[in-house]
Amino acid sequence: MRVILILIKKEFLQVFRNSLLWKILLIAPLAEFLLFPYTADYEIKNVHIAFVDHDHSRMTSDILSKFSASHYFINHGVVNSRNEAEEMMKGDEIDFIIEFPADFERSVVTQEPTKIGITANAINTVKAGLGSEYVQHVLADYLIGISENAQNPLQPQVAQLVTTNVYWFNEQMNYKNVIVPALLIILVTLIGAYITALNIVREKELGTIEQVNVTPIKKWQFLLGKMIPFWILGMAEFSIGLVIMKLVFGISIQGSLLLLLGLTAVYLLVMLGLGFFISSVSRNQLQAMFIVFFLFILFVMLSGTFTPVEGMPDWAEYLNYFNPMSFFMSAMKTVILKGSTVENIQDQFIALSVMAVILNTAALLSYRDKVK
Amino acid sequence: MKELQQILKKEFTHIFRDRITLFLVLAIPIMLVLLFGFTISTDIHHATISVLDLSNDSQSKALVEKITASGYFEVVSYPKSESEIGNDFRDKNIKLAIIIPNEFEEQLTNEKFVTIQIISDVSDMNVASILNNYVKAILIDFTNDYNGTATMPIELCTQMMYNPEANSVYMFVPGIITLIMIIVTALMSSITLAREVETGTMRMLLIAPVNKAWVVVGKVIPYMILSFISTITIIVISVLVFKMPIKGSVWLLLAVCIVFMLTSASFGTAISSLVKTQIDAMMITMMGLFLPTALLSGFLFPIDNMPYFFQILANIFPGKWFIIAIKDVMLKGSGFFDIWLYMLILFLMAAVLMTLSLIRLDKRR
Amino acid sequence: MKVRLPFRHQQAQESPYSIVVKDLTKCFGDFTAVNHISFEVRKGEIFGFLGANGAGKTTAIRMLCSLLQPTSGNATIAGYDLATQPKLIKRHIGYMSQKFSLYDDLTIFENMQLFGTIYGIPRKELKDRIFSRLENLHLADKSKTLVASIPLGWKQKLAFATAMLHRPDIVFLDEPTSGVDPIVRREFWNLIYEAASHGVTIFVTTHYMDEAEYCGRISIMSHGELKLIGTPTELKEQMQVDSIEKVFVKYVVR
Repeated sequence: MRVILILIKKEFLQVFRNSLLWKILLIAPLAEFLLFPYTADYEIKNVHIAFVDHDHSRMTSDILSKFSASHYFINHGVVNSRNEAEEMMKGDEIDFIIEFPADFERSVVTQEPTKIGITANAINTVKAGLGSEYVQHVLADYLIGISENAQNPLQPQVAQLVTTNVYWFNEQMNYKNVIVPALLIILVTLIGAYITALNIVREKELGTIEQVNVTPIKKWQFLLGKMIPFWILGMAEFSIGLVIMKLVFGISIQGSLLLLLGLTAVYLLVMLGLGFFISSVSRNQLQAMFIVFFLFILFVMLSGTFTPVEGMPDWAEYLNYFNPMSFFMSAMKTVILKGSTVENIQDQFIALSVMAVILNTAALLSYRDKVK
Repeated sequence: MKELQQILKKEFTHIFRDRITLFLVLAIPIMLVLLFGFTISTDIHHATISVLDLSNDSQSKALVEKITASGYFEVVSYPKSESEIGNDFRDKNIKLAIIIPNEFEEQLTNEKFVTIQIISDVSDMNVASILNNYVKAILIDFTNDYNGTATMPIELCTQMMYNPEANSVYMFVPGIITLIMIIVTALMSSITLAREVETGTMRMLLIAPVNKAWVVVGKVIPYMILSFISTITIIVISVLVFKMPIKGSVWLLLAVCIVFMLTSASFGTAISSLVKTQIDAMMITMMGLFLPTALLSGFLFPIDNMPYFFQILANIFPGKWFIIAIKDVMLKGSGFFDIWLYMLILFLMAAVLMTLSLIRLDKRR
Repeated sequence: MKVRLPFRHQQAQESPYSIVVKDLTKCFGDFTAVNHISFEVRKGEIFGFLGANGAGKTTAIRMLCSLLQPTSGNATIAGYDLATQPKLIKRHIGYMSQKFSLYDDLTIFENMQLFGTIYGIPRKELKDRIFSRLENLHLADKSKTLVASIPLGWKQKLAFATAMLHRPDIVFLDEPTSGVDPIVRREFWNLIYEAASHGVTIFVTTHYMDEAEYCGRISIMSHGELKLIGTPTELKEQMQVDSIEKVFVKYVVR
């Protein structure tokens, strides 16, 4: 016990004495955590739009003003030619071109078939897809409007299905409620896995590990002495993050705080085990760093934080069974936003515990106090 | 020049001796690109949902049938009452619940107006809005079938410019190239320089009668070459596997990449001039360059949605300019005169940072 | 101190040797770094291990300290079997590596406290031992100084004091004086003599030939093989020269 305590003291001294490292460890992640939720906004708004109008009728100018009124669009007005509009699109000034054919108004009034051309800048597929929906919505709205006004329905009375939408777990549709917990997890993961992965390799590179290995210290003592300090740092980091989440972003935890901390405790064990395992199999910090980086990106991308898991191929979904972040992310989200209880997230709990045991055993077994 | 050759030779010997690291440096970017390319997609299939059918008549059954047959959804639960829906969200992790009201068929025939309720789990807003659109499309389809006519007499011809098949790879590949180049060039050069400081060999190199600029340049060039190899591989994969077009000149694309590599290497050098250990170098590169680039460059989140402060902040990270430039060259076929400004910005960043870090290195000695 | 006495090999306990090496070999791939070396070191002896850089000295010493797995061969250290009782060996040896390997970002006291605690020295006694050691080295007032900021000569003395903290039977010193000035080298050898006078076996590698003269017995390694072994006087007579340096040069030239 004394041995472990002195090792813990040693790690803490090293972290806090390296003035840069502990600043990076505590301040940088929290700064990012405070800042970046403001940047992470997926919602498609500010769709820039321009018109090519070959009709110049009342109807087309009415439609134009409809678009100006919608808060989704930024209307760049009518341009002179198709070419000019395309140049604007190439220069990223606009996302959509809407083109009215000559005789548009007449065709609508006489109920002849006519076309509206919609051209989307489809490099950003999400913007193009949702943007088209908005465009169609505005157009349909307008057309229904005029048919009612004219008391002259455009089409015979037909059945309509409309939807009412209810939004659960994030009623204000606030993207911060989604990104803040995710970002917190990412930061805790970065700290947990990176610092530990580099820690033992660093001692190998500097040679200090030899001085420890030549003592009769036991492997598990050595690893616990490394594990506990970084586990404490990780928990501290996470707790500060939760406080910020509540105070700054006003996200309150619907479920039990204790459950959340318990979940994090296990998740950190997984990440530390992984970090130490990588550390003991790597020869230098560069290798360790590359391996962690690869896994980190893999975990983040597969976890569905930035792109939906539902959109991934089956094999990627199977890979997620090996992705601790994915389990943690889904469990944490439901606890924070939906108020889930232990029963709801027991699968994630079990999965994380199994991973923690496996990875820490692997770390213990792969750590060699003697070179082959 | 001879000094430079010596340092280059030493550095290359190091790199080639450490086969495992060399393998990691070259293989990991390839694996990441393949992985990203195949997994990143904003199209959703088989999302889990619940359907509560309160009517259970022939029309409502037809609607449910249409929903299940659409291929977008996997109906995992048919709850009996609204109170069960809450549990489905928590236990079955459904993304959406659809409630078909009482007397659906009757309302449809007599009143011609039925309201369907959709409950979305907006803890993932992107998925929620995409799924809502799918449901609406299915409903329109259903009414069209029911009415036997199309409801809109005006045809909308939608044309997807630059990306006719609306392939989401187009949106992500430039971002991935950027992140990987930053990792390989900036991270490797900051770490390799920090390693010399940490193990004390930097002092020896700086005391030696060698021009210190050569020391830095000699250490950075090999990683730029590695990074260049990675970049070319990634571009080849994007073109062959993901069918990314290169509409502009390939040479211009390579030139932009080289300039960006210079910028990344300068960021790496600047970071290394601030630190004493590799961990510090790595953490600063990750927190100070990689994450901000991922979040601010417009790769994951649209820049024009950000608060004004961040739109300004985004300008100081080189990723933003590089992404615009390669998107323009690859997808829009822009020429040198369309993108020279971005190249100039990147180049100036490189020049300023390199100068600053050499000055700092001089003081440290 | 010797509470674990019953575990010791009975015959080793009576043996006059503290290190017995038999056919110790280490290969790295095709390269044989240490090639079937065998020798004995008597208790309380100062045993010098000489050789050019890359002769295999460090490889051999790391095997003896159980830091490196031998390819073949075995050794008995402080009465314990290298292959089967590494933990017991570690309890009874001290080691100072070629590269300074205490923690730069800890103070002198913190370093000694860390290693002393790992060896299980009781808290109070440890403090006393640390301060009497530092007193001895005239470093007592520097106990709160970060190791990174002290000169190399002090670092080496500190590393030696740390390696001796748990009162080992044998101490392995791998080029302890490389890179320090002649005065510090002199002082360092005084420390070695003092330790030897308390019955500690000293196993020291060096490439300074003048230092070889201070050793009780020396051995010369070349290309992984042990070529010569004996007292400095014996070797000089054998090769008919008047200094170890000449023995070495003559040997290498031959």
